[in-house]
Amino acid sequence: MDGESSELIRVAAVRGAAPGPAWSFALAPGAALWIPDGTDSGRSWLDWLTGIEPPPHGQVFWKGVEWRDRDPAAAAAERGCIGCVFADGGLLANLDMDENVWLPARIHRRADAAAAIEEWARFFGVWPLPAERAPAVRERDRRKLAWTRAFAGRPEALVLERPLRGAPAEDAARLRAAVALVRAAGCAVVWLDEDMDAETRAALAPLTVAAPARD
Amino acid sequence: MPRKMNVLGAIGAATLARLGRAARTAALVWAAGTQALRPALWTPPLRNVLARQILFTGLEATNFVALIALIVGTLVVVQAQYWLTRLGQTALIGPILTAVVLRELGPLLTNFVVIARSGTAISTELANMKVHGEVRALDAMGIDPFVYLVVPRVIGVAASTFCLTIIFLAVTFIGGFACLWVIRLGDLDMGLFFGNIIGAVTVADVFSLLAKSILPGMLTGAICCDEAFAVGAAVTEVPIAATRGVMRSVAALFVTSLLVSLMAYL
Repeated sequence: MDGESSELIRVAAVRGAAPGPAWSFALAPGAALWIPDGTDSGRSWLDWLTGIEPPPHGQVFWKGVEWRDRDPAAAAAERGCIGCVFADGGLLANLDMDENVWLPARIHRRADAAAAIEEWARFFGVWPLPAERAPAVRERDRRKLAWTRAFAGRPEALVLERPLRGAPAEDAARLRAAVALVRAAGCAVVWLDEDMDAETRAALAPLTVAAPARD
Repeated sequence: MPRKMNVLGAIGAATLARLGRAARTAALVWAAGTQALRPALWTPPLRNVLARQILFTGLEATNFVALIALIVGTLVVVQAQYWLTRLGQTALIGPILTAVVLRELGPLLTNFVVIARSGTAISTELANMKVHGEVRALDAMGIDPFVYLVVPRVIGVAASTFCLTIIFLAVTFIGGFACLWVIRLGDLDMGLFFGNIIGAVTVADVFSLLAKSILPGMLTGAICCDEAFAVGAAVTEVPIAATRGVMRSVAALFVTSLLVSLMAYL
């Protein structure tokens, strides 16, 4: 880790472009945090936490260093340590689904990627990976393939953006179990959704609920 | 007086904006070119994107470019035969083919085909990726969109344009020879015809050909990517990006060709 901090992520007085209360919180390895914010001023918390877009106000630190202070290449390499699940899928339409799952591993040259990809694809029930374009694959499988891609990189942190939207109960249970497994291995988890059902709350315990500062 | 100043101000602002866009495009081309020289950059997914770009821009356009080249070769030979016969200078057909096709028409028409086919495709594809959050996903996964999406496209379009230009020239000369052979009822020496063409090629022609095929190719790739990444969140911006990409690429093609010709032949 850079610096002295044992925190993976620290958010200091962050708020969107619109006037509103600021958010401050920190996340240690293995911890889980829920950000119940659906407004995000047109930009996503995922963008701010992964440093691809700075928040209009406040600072976001990754391993003790603010994203803005990192060299772009170093920031990209650090982002490779973060698994992301996107609300809109984030799968590339011009690649086959197996290429989509393999893409971050091949770009970041992960030596042990094959075993991890197979392990998580089997866990989520999408093994063998379909060699078809996204439109040819069922939405349910696309969602599970996006989860596989995020988990297979052995991430230090996971940012899950509305991960259970439209997911059947069986798949939701799988994802909750997967989150518990990676947390036990030291991965921090950020859950981005306006709502969270009781089952998910229970599965993510101990869970910190982020809240904006009151004036 | 204030009205005159406003007009001048508007012209100045528009000029500065155009210069700014030109500088940005030049920076993109430079960055793509220098990044492409780093062997470590060429991971298997990047090589895959490059191969697909060359397949689409180069290989799949070969037949169409060859057809255009055949027609151009025939047209130039028919006109040259008509006018040079009247002047009694029929031996100049080879050098005229070289001057007209190798120096100007070949690179220009090949680039037009590439812009029409691949420029629109690149702008549309990347703009759709931006609108649907795929570019954001790449970024969040630590995959630099410039490296993954722009560099292989710029290099792929430039390499394809160069190869297509060579094919264009070869087909034009062979087609021109065949046309002339028919016109003269077989009374044509192949060695003399192609010897005249090769003999008319100068060192300046070689550099001009390289510059006029590779530079506009790189510019087309960079401009179309740039326009695609400028879209926001609305799908309606996608066709606008494609149109702007094509228009700017055509303008860049003419300006580059003019500048290279001026530098090479004046």
